[in-house]
Amino acid sequence: MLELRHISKSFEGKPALADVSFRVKTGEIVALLGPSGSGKSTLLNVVAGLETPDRGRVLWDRKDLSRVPAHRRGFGLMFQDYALFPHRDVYGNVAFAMQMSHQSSAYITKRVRQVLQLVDLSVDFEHRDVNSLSGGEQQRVALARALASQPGLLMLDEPLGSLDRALRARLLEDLSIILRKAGQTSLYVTHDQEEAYAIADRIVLLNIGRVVRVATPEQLYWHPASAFVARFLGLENLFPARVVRSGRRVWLETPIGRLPAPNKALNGDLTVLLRPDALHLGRSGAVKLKGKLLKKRFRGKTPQARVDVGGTQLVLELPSVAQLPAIGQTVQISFNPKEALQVFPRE
Amino acid sequence: MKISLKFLLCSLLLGALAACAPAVPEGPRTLTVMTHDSFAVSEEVVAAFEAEHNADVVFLKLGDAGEATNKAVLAADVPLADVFYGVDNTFLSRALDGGIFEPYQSPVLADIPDEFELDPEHRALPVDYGDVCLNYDIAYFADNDTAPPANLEDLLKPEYASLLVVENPATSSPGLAFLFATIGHFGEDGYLDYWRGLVANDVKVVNDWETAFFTEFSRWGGERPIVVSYASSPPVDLIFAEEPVDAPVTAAVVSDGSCFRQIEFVGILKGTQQRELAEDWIDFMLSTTFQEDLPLQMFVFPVNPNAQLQPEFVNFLIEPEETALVSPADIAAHREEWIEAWTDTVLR
Amino acid sequence: MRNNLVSATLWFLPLVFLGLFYFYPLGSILALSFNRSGSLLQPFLDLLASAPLRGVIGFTFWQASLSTLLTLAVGLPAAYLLARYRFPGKSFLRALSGVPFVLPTLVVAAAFDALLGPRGWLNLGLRQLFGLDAVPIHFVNTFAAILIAHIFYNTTIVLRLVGDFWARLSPRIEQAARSLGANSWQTFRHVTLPLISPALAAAALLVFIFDFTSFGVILILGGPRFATLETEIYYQTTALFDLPTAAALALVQLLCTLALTLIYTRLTSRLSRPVELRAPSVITRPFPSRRARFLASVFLLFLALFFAAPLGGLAARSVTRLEGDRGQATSVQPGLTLDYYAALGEDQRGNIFFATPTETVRTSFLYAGSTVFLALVIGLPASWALARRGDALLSRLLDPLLMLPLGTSAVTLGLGFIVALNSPPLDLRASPLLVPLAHTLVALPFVVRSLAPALRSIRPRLHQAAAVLGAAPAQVVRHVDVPLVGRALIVSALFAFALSIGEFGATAMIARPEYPTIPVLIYRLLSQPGALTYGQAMALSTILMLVTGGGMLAIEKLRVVEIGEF
Repeated sequence: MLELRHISKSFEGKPALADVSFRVKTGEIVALLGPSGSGKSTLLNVVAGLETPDRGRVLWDRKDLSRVPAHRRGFGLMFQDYALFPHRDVYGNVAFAMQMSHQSSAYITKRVRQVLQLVDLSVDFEHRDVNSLSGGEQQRVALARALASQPGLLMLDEPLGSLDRALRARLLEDLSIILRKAGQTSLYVTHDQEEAYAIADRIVLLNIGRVVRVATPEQLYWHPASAFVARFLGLENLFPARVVRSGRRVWLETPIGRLPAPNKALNGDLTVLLRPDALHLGRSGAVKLKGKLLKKRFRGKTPQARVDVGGTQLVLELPSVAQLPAIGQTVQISFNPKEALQVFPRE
Repeated sequence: MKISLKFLLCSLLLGALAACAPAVPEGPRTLTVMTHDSFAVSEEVVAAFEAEHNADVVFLKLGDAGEATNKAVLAADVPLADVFYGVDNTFLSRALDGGIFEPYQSPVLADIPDEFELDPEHRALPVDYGDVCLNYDIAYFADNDTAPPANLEDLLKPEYASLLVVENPATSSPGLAFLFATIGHFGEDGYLDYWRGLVANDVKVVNDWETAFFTEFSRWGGERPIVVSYASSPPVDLIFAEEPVDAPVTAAVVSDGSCFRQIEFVGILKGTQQRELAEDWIDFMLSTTFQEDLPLQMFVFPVNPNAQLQPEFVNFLIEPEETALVSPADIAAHREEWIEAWTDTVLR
Repeated sequence: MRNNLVSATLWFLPLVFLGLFYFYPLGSILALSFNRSGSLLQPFLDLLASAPLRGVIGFTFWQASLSTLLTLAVGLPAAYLLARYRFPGKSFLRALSGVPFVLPTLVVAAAFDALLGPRGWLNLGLRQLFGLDAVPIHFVNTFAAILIAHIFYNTTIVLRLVGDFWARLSPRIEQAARSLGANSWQTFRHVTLPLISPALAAAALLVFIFDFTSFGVILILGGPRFATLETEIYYQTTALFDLPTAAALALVQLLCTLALTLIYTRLTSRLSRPVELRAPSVITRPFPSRRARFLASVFLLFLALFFAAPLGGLAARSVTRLEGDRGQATSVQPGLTLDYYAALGEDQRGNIFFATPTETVRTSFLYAGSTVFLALVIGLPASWALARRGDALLSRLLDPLLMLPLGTSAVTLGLGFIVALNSPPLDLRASPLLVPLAHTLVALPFVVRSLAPALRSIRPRLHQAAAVLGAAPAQVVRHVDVPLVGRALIVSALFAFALSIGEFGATAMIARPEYPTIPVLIYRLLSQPGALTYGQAMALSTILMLVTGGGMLAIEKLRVVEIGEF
């Protein structure tokens, strides 16, 4: 089990990590998610032992790693640019860690075959020049290299970053299967939420060097818990809201009108989220709004509609079967507050 | 890959060690002789001296005669060697003015004709001489039915237009000697006019003897059948021919005053720790053993009249009766000035 | 602070070496020379007052500029073809172009003579073909000879510097320009040219430095009508013994070289941070059309011929009988022979300095091996310091100094050795060690320029990757650094080796006659009459060519895919 306790690190006075703490349990895949510049790679380097934190400790199975240099940690790190050794062929790259620890060559040969098979590369790749491989092949070799010595913890730094979308989707799926099959404790760094959802047991969301949220993909998706998270997850329909009380009645004053407060104890200035996927056309929901249809956008599974409600745009994600009226027509929108309405403190 | 790297490193180390190794010659007594690039001597001749005097002779070659003289002068305080051989009469003044030699009156000097002794104080002792003369390609003149030039004046005639190649006196020792020949022959007032005449007659100037001889001279395929070289060149050419030849294919022009005699000197360098051995070496250089070795090694001729010449030289060497005369004092006073005047007249 | 300490440590050995064997001798001879005139300023005033000397300076710049332009004109198209296309014989062409660079002028002059001289193959052929009496082509001692020899020597610099940089430039950028509507000329003019310009300028400067300080080419091929600073220094020193004037000229040349090297080192440091670079294997492609292939083939064939013909002419001369030829076209009966090679092993005169070719090759190899050793021991820390980031100041100051020996008159420095290294423990004036020391001065800039980029190319990422994979620091060095730098080490070792094998000037200056090197022996053979000795000189030159050519070919095979610095 990996445990990070209050890790802080700054570069030339600029804080890169501030008081970061979380755990990765044995066999668990944790995704480190955040926009670029949020400190993900620095954190990875700290765990790998390539950077020394200013404060805080990294523990592995309750053992403090502060004085353990990178090459003794027994971790694997798969670099974003793969960092394959250009002077070694595929075999030489994959065998590297085992050669460093002086394993028997018979074992190395066997193990290299094994991992190459695991990453779905055939045996005749062994003696290929790594400079001649395609991006996807290089990625598999880098993964095989990181996995070959059966590292306690495998760290993957944006491993799909430089690949095209289709290849990415396929490799992500493969990666997920490989890691789970191997029962590999992993720390997966990405800026792409889809990737994080697809692969991780838990997600650690990082922003400007701080942990913003630690949650399962489902929790994160359904309960972003802050306006930042919601926005980072790509959710629209975030509006400033003010709590208004009139006697015992409490409601939220927003640019699209008055909305019922989900909780009577609220106070002051808030941000309100209307989840686009929980808004419906028609009158089926408890709260009803009226607006003018501005735009329709076909996006495959979930078409999007933009509706002008009282001068503010509201985005709806609709089932693909939904019949939309013509542009410019008045439409009726409704939702159930429990599904669609979330409030966060104002940032 | 791994093996080749190791191999390379090892051979480098060995190479460095091996290069350091011969730096300190072990031996009885060591005599260091500095000389010019053209110096050559038979191994057995040196071995004879070494055996007789229980000595090792180490030679240092320090460039052509001019460069070696310059270096000897610049190193006057801490001499490079015990003996310096190879300064000739064109550079003698520079060496004597530089004060690099200790006087030594060798007993062998008694045998040597006075004409060779240019330094009355016996700081520099004559060893050998060679004559710089015009050479011509016998076949060319036979084929073209013309007479070869008989003297320097002939070269101004129209029938010898575009036939002569000479060396630059600033960069070539025979070139300088030939300039002195024209000065000796035409006088200080007349030589520049003569050279103007040569320029008008399309003389070709090259920087070095090699280019003049092997590139421009018609004997080697060039276009110029007359070249400034040595009186010894025709017999030497014959000795080093590929197939035995019975007569030289080139000849030297040896009319009175058309050649310049280069005399080479040896002297004991000031500050030597081996004065006695140095004296022995100089006596040896003047002895017939060494003197008879000179012609075939350096294509120069002994100053000691007791030395015997090889048959090739006896048969085919034609020596000038009378060479152009320029006194060492004049050379000392004017050599730079003459070279510059020549350069201005001929090249610019 | 700590950074500066590290780089000061790294620079220690190179600086001691340069100080002892370059600055100290050079300073001594310059001081001695100016002392002779009694004034530091007077020689310079005399120099300025002398029209011929001003002419010499002018001509030096003029011939160097023209030679540089022509070298670029030949080298640029070749660099483009080498960079962008795959064709057979590519590395052979690169190696071939590198051979002249390390050959002594003596041999190059003999090679041009064998091809273009009065009895060169070309004149022979033309005369026999048209029954001419006169020699149709006059080459030796013309201005054209200087220019052509300079192109022959230095085109390889353009191929290496510009070609290698170009080869790594992503073609995507050019494709982007084409897609934005630029035609091929516009693409070259507005995109490619600005991108390759640092490499182009660096190559031009380096070529200029070599042309500017050219000695043998001017003296032997140019002849007496042409004088550059370098030949004038020789003339003033040797013929006139006017040391103050020679020193003033040497200082002028040195300052010009220093200025040029300063610009050059600034430019090359920009080369190490280039735009998007790719592995050349990804970029090169076969010729797109028949027409392109035809045009390129014609040009490449011309280029190969330009390099190969003089060298081949020389080699052919070494196996062709010369006797029986009286210079008349009709009587030439060239017959094949190996006599000259056989004669190399025979001592005809019992000369004490006689050395068989085997001995000579061994001497040359020993000197070259020691040069390689010294150049690497001294060059490696210097390259390391140059490859480090962050402490640019010291390196920026010292980098140009390494290049300075290239622009220093060999005559002046040779006298400096005589004057300065005259007392123990540095009494090296008569030591054979002086040869590798002098060669190291020449080889050092090349060693450093090929090692520094290789060291720089080891991305910190690879170190990290190795560390995370369990490699201890020593293992990282052993398994990552050494293999990656190893090839660069071998390449620079071979370069130093080839330079040392072919070096003549410094060797002749200090040679112990009992240990002649190959060029020294060639010189000895050339300086006496006789067909046999001339043939022997050609034979030995051919052996030298083969040795250096082999070295160049090995460099091509081992070269790390790398931005060429020179």
